[in-house]
Amino acid sequence: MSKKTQNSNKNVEVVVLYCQHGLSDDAKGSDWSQKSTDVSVRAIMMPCSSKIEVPYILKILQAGVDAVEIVACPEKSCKFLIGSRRAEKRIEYIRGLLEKIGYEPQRVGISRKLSQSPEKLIELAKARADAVRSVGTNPMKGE
Amino acid sequence: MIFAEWKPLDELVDKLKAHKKVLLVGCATCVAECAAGGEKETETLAPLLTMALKKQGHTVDITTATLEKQCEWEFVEELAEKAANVDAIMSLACGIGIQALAERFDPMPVYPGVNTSSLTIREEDGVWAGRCAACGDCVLDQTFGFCPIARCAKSLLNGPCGGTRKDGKCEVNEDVDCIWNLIVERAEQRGQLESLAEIRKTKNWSNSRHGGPKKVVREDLKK
Amino acid sequence: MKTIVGSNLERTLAGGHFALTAEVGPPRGPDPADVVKKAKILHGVADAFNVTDNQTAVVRMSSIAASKVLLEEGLEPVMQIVCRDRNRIAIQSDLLGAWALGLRNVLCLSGDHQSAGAGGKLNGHPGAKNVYDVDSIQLISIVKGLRDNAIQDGGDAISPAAPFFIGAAWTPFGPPEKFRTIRLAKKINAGADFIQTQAVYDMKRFAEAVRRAEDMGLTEKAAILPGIIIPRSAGMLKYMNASVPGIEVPDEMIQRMKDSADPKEEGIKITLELIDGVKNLSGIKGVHLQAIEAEELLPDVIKAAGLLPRPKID
Ligand code: SF4
Ligand code: SF4
Repeated sequence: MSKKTQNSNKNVEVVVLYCQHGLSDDAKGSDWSQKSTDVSVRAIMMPCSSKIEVPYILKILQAGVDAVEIVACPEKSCKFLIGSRRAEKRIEYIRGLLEKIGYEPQRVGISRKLSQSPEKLIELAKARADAVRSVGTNPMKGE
Repeated sequence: MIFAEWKPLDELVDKLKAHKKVLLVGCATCVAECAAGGEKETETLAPLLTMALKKQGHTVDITTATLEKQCEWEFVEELAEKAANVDAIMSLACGIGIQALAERFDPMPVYPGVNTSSLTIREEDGVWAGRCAACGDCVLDQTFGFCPIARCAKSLLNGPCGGTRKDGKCEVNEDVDCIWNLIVERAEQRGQLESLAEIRKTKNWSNSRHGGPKKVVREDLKK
Repeated sequence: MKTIVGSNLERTLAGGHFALTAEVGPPRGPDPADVVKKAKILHGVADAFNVTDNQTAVVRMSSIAASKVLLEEGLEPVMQIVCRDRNRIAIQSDLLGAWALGLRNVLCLSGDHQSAGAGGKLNGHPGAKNVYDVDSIQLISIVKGLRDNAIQDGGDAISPAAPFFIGAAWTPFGPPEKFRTIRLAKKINAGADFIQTQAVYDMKRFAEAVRRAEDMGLTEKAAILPGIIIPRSAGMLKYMNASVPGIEVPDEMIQRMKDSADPKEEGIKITLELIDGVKNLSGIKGVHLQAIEAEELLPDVIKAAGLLPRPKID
């Protein structure tokens, strides 16, 4: 059995960074986590997606997390106007860096959603988890 | 500012894989301005290199520090404690900063993490362009404020070569203005085109690197 | 009729003849036979032959050596010198050496940047360190100093003087167009005796440029030889128009080549018309004809243009 198929059954660890302006009121104001058999999700609220810096995301990956999903506001509704556009460019940059060091670029992704519920965030996290499931666990895991 | 860029990541990984503990040192001055070696870039590169090394089977502990100025001895001194706990240093400062670390922490290996290439201005966010080549004999007054040494691919002093493109760009790079086209344009605007008709004699390059290593002593400033 | 150097090209021009120069590109290898072969084809069809200096920044047999081979074959060379690869020390040393070998005409150029690499068709040496210690106008002054004052650029005397017939290039159409005539004047004031131009296809615009030069008295001071590159296809003309700085090809000419059943023949027709056109321009003293990588075309074209035999100068 190849390493990849072994991993496909494993629990995939995903961190969701979400912009506080994009979330419905009831979900706001906290970091939280949820674990199921195949995905562990940790959600961290950010003041604005434009505040998400490159080192911050890389350090999450360095700590062994399998994937990071950024949930930004749609461009039109972004409170800081170009905040979410900027976040998108940064994600592109990080993906390029990951590729250069032999990591799968899909370990980092971004979606633009407005007024999301916690359930929807979990759904996005799961989609991200599915995108990396086949490539295996983060080599940094277990550090 | 002095402009530098990261060396290719695989080159950096290759250099560090023989080490166990590495200190990655940034500089908050020029290389921060050109987004190669400021605090942000240092904190970006550290996890990136750690991950790359790990993937290749090397566990290297990378700690970071960003100095105010890596080219001043008193700031370099701030590293003493951290440097005592590592077996190699990688610097993201320009060549001057890298040499300062190499001198201060001899015989510790000090690796350049960047390639220093030019003296640039930030034209706009994310865009840098060369402005000066430290030629040692400035002619900006004769060329209407545009440097023909750094900004003309052939460092011409008497006007444009035959390679200026139709759109006024340089034959060597379609994204760069032919600087002589701009010099002439400005001369015309000021009604001073004739000043460019004067033949500029062969240049004295001896006050630049071509004259040998630079050393300046000012007695009035010596202690 | 006063001459200072006594080269065939100088005497042809001084004698009031319509001069003709052609171009010989040295080989990318060391075999002199490659140069001799071209020399045999071109013997007697022009007054002097330009020998390029690592054009498009591709390493070729040195211009000085290939010039000497031509000379031995009875062809008079115009040794080209570019500023890309040699500093003022090497250039002057080569000039003295060239003179010792009997070379008497030089053409002073800035040179293609080393990133050119034959327009990407060959590797070239894009990682090379360039020199550009002097520019083409300063180079002209240096050659003039060696000739007229027997003095090197640094001020040291030489003995005897090294008289060369000095050439320079002119790109009348490139931007900034207003400055191009001033730059021509600078070259002539620095000491250029003859001028070879970037290839001309747009006769009307060229005539206007020459008029401007004439108005400044430049056509009296130096012999202007318009460059003509024999076109061989519509694609070639289109490419030159779009990608070679300083070359302007009228749309009608490209269309004419496109419509032609035999573009090679049409290209020769166009060449002959262009030669005829420049011949009739006041202030023009000759023509510089090129058939890039097809030197064998030259004898027939030159003959058809009625430019053979070349004047015999004693
Ligand atoms: S002329 Fe020399 S000193 Fe002046 S800007 Fe250009 S390179 Fe720098
Ligand atoms: S095109 Fe302009 S900038 Fe470029 S090498 Fe020629 S003169 Fe210099």
